[in-house]
Amino acid sequence: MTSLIINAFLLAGYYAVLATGLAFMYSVMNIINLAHGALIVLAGYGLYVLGNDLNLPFPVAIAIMMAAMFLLGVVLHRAVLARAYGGGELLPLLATFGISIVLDNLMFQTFGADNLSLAPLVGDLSWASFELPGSIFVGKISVYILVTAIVVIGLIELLLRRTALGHRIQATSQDRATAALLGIDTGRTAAIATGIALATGVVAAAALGLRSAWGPYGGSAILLFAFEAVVIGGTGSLWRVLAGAIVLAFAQSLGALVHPQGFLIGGHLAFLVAVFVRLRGGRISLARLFGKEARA
Amino acid sequence: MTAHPGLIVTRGGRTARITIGVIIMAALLLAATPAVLGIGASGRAVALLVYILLAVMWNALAGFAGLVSIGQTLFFGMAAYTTIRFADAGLDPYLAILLSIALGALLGWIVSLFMLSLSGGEFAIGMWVLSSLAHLSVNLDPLIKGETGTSLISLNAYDIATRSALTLWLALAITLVVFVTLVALLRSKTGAAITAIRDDEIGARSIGVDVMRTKRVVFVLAATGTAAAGALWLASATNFQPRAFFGIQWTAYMLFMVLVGGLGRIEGAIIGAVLFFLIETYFGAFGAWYVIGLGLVAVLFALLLPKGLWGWIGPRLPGEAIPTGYLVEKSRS
Amino acid sequence: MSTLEATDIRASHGQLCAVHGASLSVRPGKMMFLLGANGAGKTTLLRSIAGDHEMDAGTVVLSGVDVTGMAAHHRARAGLALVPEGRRLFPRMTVRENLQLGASTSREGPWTVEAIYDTFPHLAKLDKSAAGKLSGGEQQAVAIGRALMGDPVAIMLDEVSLGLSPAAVDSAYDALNRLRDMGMALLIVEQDLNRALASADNLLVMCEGRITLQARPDETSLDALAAASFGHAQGVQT
Repeated sequence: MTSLIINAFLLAGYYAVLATGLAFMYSVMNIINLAHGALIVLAGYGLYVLGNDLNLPFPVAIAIMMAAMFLLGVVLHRAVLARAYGGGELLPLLATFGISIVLDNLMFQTFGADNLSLAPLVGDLSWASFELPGSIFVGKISVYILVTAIVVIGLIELLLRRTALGHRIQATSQDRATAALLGIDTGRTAAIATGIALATGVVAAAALGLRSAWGPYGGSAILLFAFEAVVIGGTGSLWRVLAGAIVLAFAQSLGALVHPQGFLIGGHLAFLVAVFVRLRGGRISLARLFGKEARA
Repeated sequence: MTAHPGLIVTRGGRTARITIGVIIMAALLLAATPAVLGIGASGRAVALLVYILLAVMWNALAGFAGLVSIGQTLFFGMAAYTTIRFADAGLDPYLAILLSIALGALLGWIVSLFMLSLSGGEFAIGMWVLSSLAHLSVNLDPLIKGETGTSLISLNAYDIATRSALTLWLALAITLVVFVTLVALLRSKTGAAITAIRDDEIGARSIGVDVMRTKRVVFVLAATGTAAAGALWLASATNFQPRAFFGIQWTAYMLFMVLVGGLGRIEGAIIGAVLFFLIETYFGAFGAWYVIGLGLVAVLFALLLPKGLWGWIGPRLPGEAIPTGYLVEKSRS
Repeated sequence: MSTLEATDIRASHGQLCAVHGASLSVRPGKMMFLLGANGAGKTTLLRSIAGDHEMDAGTVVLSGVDVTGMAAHHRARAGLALVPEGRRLFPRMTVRENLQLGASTSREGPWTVEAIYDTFPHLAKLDKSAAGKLSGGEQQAVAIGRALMGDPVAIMLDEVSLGLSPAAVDSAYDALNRLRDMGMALLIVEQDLNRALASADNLLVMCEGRITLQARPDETSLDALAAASFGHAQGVQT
């Protein structure tokens, strides 16, 4: 029982890492990026190529990929998301879904159907574990992922609340017109925010590759988990993503206890309950709905 | 319609009459397929009708009600599954299909009660979660045996020529019924509300359009039509493997057909479906590259030609092909 | 030379024409008032000048530089500020953070957060308060301060006294008068005709998208202003 709870918390750390970029774009820029999962998988392949084929040290590979994904985010915003303001709300959804389909199949063509893992890049660490009192063993990687989730969310919150760039990002997302009147280049600011969101995807990709193996079509499951964590947690602060991830991980673990195939079903049910609760409370989602309309 | 001096208000016209002619011709041709071209061709004809159903329904949802769903496979897959279940319980397979379509409408109504309160991306992925949940639950059914799946064995009661013809005629009848229902809906008072919401949701709300009710009508219709497509696809394929019915590739196909044909126009959805049918016939064998091509084309259309092919063709025709609005002209008298 | 010169501005909302060719010119150290009934097109005119609303025709020249083709943030960086109707502060950020956002124009000038607190002393103690929790008068002061942080040469204020207490209006106008004395060009939309007559260097009245009256306060009267607001050429006694 204790080990089940501990493992659920560790799993929650993993989901929080997966969800951070999605939550950042959603709560800060009101955009749901349906290519979020596929982009994390892409970053995973990038890490694999840099670390395994080019033999670069793992931290160097992460740094390079973060820079690359940041640039890709800027391009994604300029080429796709920025057009949303001219073409209506549906456009970013349709376009990012299309991009995810293209990425999934391109990665299948390039890297094949085999599952890859980043574990060999970190040597012994991948199977090392901490021993807790009561002979409970927890994988070091899982613990580090949980710590990383907290650090990444903390850093992004710090960026948003304490830096000039963070304030410009908030201003752009809350009231684009007024932000522009103050001299803020809203297009550039939103592009940088997208870049940051995608750069956090590299951390998610590292977690994905170290924790388990992944294949070219893994993006849709990642998107689903990340989205469920975001909806269960609710918007407002990125810390709520961590809360949502914890609920999701516990619901899945409980589901797995009930039935061998109940893992995913448990998570989906938790998501539905969260949606129901929000509808019954009504106010939260309605207020946000009207808030969006007032700005439109 | 009260007459206004100096103005002639009409709907339809020569283009519309031509369209009706084309549709009747196409329906007759399709109906004659089993007799003229044989069993294989009638299977393809069902595929074409299923694509048209899917495209027209997804377009109604996204283009008219502004609801992008990446989980319409919920209705597609569930209808196939319930057909299997009803047939297994001893029902005639064609009755099972009709019952499953009705059940699809009911499921759509239930889902609409809570999902329509979500907006934008939340609705899009929320529908996917539901579809995924349905997929996982279906896998638990011992009859389905996980991803192994099963077949609509009771179809064997009909000899192969009879059943392929029956399936095609049923598909044709259902497609026509759904199509006529949609056009009638768009030409009714609800249709005016749908158009208002499509053009400007906030504006529509402010002039007293019941946005939620209108969206619910469209959603339930889309659920019904998509369920019909799923049951028909099963009747044509006979094998039911959950992944082949709940898989996300269907959403990609719907997206492609609607974006390329033209979001928000029935004519566009039909053109997109026909185009997709042709592309699939000639390029389907290219596997992943074929899907990459579909995705790329859909993204490029979304970014560069958001109104699709019909957005280019439509304005060049005199009048509407499928008239859902009114034409107002100064009278020449 | 005028600091702000707008010529023959035309703007519309969809198919509805809101401004039919309005021109105005504000000199440095002058306070110009723009008056008129609701829906006369004042807000659209201001937003068009600021680049927040795409105009159909016309030119905007700021300190001799044609800014017509520039996006809103470039106009702000050129020294043109707009304090929008409803103030539009960022409610969850603090007063200081709101003010600091105003410095996004990166212009050289005298304004710092401390200088704003000297001008509006009651803001200093609200430094760390969330802007959304402030009273209307305090919010207006923050909104004006935020615009000043960008060191503009011309500042436009929409409905400056709407929803404020008389004392708050007095305090806002004290500050605006000081800005005028510093040589800034001010264009103010105001509902209170008495206030406008008392403070203005120049008055403009708009009606149905056109400028129907342009005068100095000593050349006109309350009745003439009211009449022009409703499109009458001559004053009508009410």
